[in-house]
Amino acid sequence: MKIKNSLKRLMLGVSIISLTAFVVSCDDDFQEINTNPLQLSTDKLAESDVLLGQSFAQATYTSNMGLHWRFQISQSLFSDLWAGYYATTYVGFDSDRFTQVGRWADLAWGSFYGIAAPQVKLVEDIATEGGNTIGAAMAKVIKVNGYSRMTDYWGPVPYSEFGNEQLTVPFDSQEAMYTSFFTELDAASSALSAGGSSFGASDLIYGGDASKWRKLTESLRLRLAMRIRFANPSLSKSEAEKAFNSGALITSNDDNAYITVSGDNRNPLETITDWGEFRMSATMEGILKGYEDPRMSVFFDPAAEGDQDGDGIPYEGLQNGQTKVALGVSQNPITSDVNVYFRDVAQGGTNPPLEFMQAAEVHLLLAEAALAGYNVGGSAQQYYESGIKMSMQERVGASDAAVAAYVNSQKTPVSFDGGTTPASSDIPVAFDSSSTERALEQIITQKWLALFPNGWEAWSEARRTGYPKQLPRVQSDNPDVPKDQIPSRMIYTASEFTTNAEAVEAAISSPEIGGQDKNNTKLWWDKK
Amino acid sequence: MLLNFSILLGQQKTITGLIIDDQGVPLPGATVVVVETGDGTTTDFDGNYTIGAEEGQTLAFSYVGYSTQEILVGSASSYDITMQTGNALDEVVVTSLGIQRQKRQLTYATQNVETEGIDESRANGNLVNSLQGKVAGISITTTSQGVNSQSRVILRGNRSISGSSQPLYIVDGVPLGGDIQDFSPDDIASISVLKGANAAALYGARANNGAIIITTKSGKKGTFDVNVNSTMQFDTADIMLEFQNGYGQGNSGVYSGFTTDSWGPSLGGTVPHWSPNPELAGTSIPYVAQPDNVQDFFDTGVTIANNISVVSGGETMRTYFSYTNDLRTGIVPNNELERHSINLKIDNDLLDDRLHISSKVTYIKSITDNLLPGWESYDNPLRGVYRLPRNVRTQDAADFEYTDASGNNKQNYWKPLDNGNGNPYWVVNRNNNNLVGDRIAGYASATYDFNDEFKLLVRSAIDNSTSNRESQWWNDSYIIAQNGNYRINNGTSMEWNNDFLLSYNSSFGDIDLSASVGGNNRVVKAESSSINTGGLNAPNIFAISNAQQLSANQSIFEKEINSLYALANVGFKNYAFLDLTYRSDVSSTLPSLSNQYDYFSAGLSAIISDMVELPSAIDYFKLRASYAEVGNDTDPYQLSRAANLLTGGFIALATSAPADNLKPEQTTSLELGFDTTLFNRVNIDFTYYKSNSVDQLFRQNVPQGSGIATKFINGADIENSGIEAAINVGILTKGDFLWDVNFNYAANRSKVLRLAEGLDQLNYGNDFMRSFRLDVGQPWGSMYSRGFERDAQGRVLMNANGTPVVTPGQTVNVGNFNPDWIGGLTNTFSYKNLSLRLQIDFRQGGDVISFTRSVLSSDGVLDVTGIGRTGGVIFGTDVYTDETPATTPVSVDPETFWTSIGGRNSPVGEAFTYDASNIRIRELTLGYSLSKAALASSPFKNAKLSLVGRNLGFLLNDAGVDPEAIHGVGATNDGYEAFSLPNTRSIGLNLKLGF
Repeated sequence: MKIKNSLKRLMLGVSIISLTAFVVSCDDDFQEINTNPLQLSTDKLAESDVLLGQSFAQATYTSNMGLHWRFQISQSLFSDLWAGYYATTYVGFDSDRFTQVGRWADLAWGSFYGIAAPQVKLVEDIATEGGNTIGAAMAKVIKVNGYSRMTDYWGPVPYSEFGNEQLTVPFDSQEAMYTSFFTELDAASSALSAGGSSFGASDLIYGGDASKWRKLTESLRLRLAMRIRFANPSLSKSEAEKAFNSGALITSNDDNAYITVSGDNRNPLETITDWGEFRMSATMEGILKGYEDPRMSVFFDPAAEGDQDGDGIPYEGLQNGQTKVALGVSQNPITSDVNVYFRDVAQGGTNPPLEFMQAAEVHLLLAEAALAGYNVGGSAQQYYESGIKMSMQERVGASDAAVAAYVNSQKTPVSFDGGTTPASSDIPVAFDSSSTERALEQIITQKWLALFPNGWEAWSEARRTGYPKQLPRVQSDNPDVPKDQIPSRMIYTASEFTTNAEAVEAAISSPEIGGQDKNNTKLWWDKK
Repeated sequence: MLLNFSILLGQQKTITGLIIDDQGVPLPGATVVVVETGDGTTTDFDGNYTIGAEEGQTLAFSYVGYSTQEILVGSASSYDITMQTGNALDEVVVTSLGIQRQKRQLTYATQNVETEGIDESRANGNLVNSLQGKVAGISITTTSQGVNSQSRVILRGNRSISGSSQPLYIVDGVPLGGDIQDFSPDDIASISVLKGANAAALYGARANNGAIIITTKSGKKGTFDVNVNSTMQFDTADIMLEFQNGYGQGNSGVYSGFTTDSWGPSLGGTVPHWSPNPELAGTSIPYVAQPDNVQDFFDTGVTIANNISVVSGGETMRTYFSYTNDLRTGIVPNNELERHSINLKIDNDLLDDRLHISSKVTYIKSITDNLLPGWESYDNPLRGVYRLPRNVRTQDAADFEYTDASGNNKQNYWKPLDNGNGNPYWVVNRNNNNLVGDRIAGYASATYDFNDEFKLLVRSAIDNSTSNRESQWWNDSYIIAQNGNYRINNGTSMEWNNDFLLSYNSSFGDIDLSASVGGNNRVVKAESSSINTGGLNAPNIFAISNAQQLSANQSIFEKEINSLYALANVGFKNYAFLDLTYRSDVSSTLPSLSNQYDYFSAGLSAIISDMVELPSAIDYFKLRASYAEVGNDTDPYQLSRAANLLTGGFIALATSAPADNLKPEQTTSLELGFDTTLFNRVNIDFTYYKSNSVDQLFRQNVPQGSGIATKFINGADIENSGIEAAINVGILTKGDFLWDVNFNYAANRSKVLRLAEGLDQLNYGNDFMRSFRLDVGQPWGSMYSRGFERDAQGRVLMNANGTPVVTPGQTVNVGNFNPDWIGGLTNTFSYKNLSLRLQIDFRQGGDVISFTRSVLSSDGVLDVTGIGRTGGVIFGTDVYTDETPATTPVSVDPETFWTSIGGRNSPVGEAFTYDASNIRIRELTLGYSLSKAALASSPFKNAKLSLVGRNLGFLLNDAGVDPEAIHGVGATNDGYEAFSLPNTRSIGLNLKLGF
């Protein structure tokens, strides 16, 4: 009986202990369980310059559409094709026939607003609060660059109220955004002029050097100033001259802004080359072959099956807008892939740094500024020729003699298919001072070459100026955009209509879009 | 002293006996329960039972379709029982927390599953599939992964937006972390299904989707039985797609060997070989129809399953041991499963049967080769199989590789370097993936009977799984996998439950009372890591050190929930019953100020037939009603905004906003029903239910300009209501020839009553084909896709070229998968030792969208694409004849027509949506048991041979694909067919021997 009783007591004791254990739940333990040991919480970022720097690296990379598939769905499939750099050989890519595939556009929008923009804001906010003026200025430059790319795609987009954490986020007009960009760049330039450094090696562009960042700031100002040349000439002039007068422009290739990449965060272009979906466009072939441009062999590779059109030169382009039926047969062996330099390391590529802004573009922007009568310390022809020289030196290490021969050349673009299709233009390389319009075509055509492979900027300039003249598409599937034109903007994405309908509807009915949310609606700066 | 002690506590003895029906036929699988202790067993194939009980205790004998009988244990040690046909409602069922109760007492719907034969048919190697059609209202759709496929189980509709709507699995009173896919059917003693929150509320959050309660076999006192069960099955592909056989590879009527399209010239003659193999350059091959090239790809799958079990028991210890070996090859070459299951259960009755210590360990090892991933995965050979051009000969395609001039092993494929497609023979041989799973599930428990009224259970149970997955792609499998690719994915997941239950049982006059309090501590933890080589340096050497672009990932998931609960069951005169339950949970995933949530259930039942005199046709009539609430928590790590560390030294802000004021989710459920027996042979269970899942925690996409991509919402009200009926009719219940009919019927209606303020639709899954959407006011899960543009009269607008005008976006509601009703009809016939069982499953209503048919249409391989190859097709006349064009359409060539509405990237889903209604022959079993007399001179105690067929075919199906084949078990996969397996027919033989 005793044993029975003691057992009873023991069991009752066990049950009381277990009951107590259940009732007393420990909040501290639960908080620890509910903390993911593999992640940081955001408040830790403010406590460490190193961690903030690594966040800045992510902001820099993603705001330029690093990440391979994000690059493909945002840049390769739209601006790279519409700028005429490449044609697609993949039967599934309808955007080469001017169909804006909604799912890609949605992802492109989300890649910036969902990933890059919060990251940029985080860094700018923390740097500002922490008194890191250089870091905050660098973040501002990244911000202006990122948002300018977005508005250049869509027109009005969320900007000033980004990050309001509300269910409606108003869109800013493009005009207001550009005005704000210049103010932001003023602030950044002023902070950077004090010199110093921030973020060290986590600054993937200049290793933290404030003086170089100031050059990027002013060069970006010049780019944006020229973009609004036809929409707001006086602001364009004053901002361009302000940039020139700062004395801090990227005028030498030593100061070029490239984003360093690594095996983990690769140049996005190289990451998509394995798929073999893009080839040199016919427009590109005609211009490079016609100019006997030495950059042809560093931009592209010979077609695998060699010369196709009988000109004896094995570089071959593909006319944009091929039909599905034509692409049912692989065009890859008979057309030129991008040069191995840009291709995947596995194919012998180099994983080159990602272009942001180079001296050649700055010279060619100054050339257009001079052409427009702005006071930028030189003539259009001087800057045109120095711009070509910068590009030639950077891309092929061209000698002065080779550069001179090229800039004096009267050669013009040729037919890409041995004469069946006329050449895209009759514009020669040698500067034509007889006509400002022809000079503009020359400047922009050369900038188009110098910018390669930056299709994002090239498409904006192609829309703004109409240059370079592109060959018509074989076919357009978009009733708004005939095959001899290119789209003027991106249609707003489906996700905005489901999540931010009020704001996107307001943007569409704003004067800049005028109720026409279409691919052929011209942006505010597209006024030429 | 010890001796005295045992005498005081009484003496348990072993009782044996034979249970026969009123015709003298032994009843296998009849249940015997010691009423006082709840200990139970079932009879063997010969109707024999063995059970331990004390003098003075009561044994209850029950069997489906027969009245329960009780006897008082006296001095005898053998009791033979003759069962009388009667109502099925006195059967004993296992309810929440492993408590066995008489079905008559229950206040909610539960259904025992007929487990007889599940170890003979061995459905697809997935025990879950054995339940198909056997329970009113259970919807089981299977993924097309081949052998070892997962299944999706839904009871009473989908309710959870971000979580699972699948039920909880309880084995021997213990919740599992996963399901019972890999459990051996040989070890199953009984399965009962608790369909709604009402029955399962005591299990907490996960029980709002119902629970499936499994009891496994145990040892028996005074026995030593060895049973052997052997099965051999053969599986064949039952392809419903129909192909055209008039035209081969090419486009615009011109032959090309380098395309997956069959828009070439009409078949006949010879053409240049499609092969990129330089040795075949310049050769010709016949260009003739290959009507069987798809069918040729499939093998006859073979299953060989063997089980040996030992059932034994002595005075104080009972042991069940079993080993199952299951070897399967699928209908897709190289898709194989090897599974070993070991099960050991030991029950001890100590201290003169006061202390019961019980433990069980189940170990399962499953090795699966080339699990089919479905859809557009590069590892899915079905994509390439169905897309085979109509002229490609089996022997040419089967020669899937060659060596090029540089000595590289290359894929012999008609469209080399095409992104993501491949020769299916290459895929099954050179894109290898295997999955090794190890699972250990078990428990240890101790129950102490303080006296007749009080007892205490303490238990710890764990379900731990590890999975190791490896994927190898050979060079030339995929354009971006240079020299091949290698991936490893390892994961572990654990569910650990510790619980106690203090129970009290007593009677006060007409009142029976049982009450319990209990508690549970539940820990869930999962970790996984993966490595991807991102291409290889040396071709086809699958080693991490051979990586080109190494990348790695790691993830973790952990939460803990502490619960206390109480329940009370009050019976009055054994004809009126009241159930009350209460549970309180504290979860680690919720904010500390609101991490506790309480909920309750209440139920009433009354056996009217025992209370008042009813017409004589009504033998039994019971009414029941119950109401339940169940709370739920969420996933871990939702309360703060995180920053992720990326390889390469980048730090990335998470895109989702933290949810700092989360409220727990709640499901409320009301249930009303009756159970009746009429004319002594018709049993009907009928239930009406309505459940609402409110305050759900889900992510809403918010404007990305707000700085966050998604925001947690505490909202929504998803309502499911419906009826369930289980009808059993014993048509012939006497004589040598017996005929029994079971029919299950269930109709569920879902409705999204509310999402969140300002939110009337939620898109939560979309791809090229369709968006899966919840719309307020609509049933759960509308499918939106591109559709035909229509005029006010619903006529289709036409383009000038003869193609229909289609919507630019996925804006047309093309259907909903949820059926109007589902059912199962089972006829069981027996004649002496011969039995025949035929089960037919029904699904009426609902839609399925077929990505396969869209792609195959644009490829020009489906039979419909053969129409109008010369002369063109006219919309509404030659194709889509049920549509009326708004203007008279011109004739269009079929290639232009089908490529404009089909294909992969922007298909018109409306054109490929089909009625998902179907009737299928689920199971046919013919069994023969050798009689006792025949076995008398043999070493066998029993022997049974069965011929088993499963999924033999469809009696009705207009979809051209299996409308219930899904490619994943997530909620958004319903009604979406994408390169799934054909229906797989199984025919096999099963032999059971008992020694």
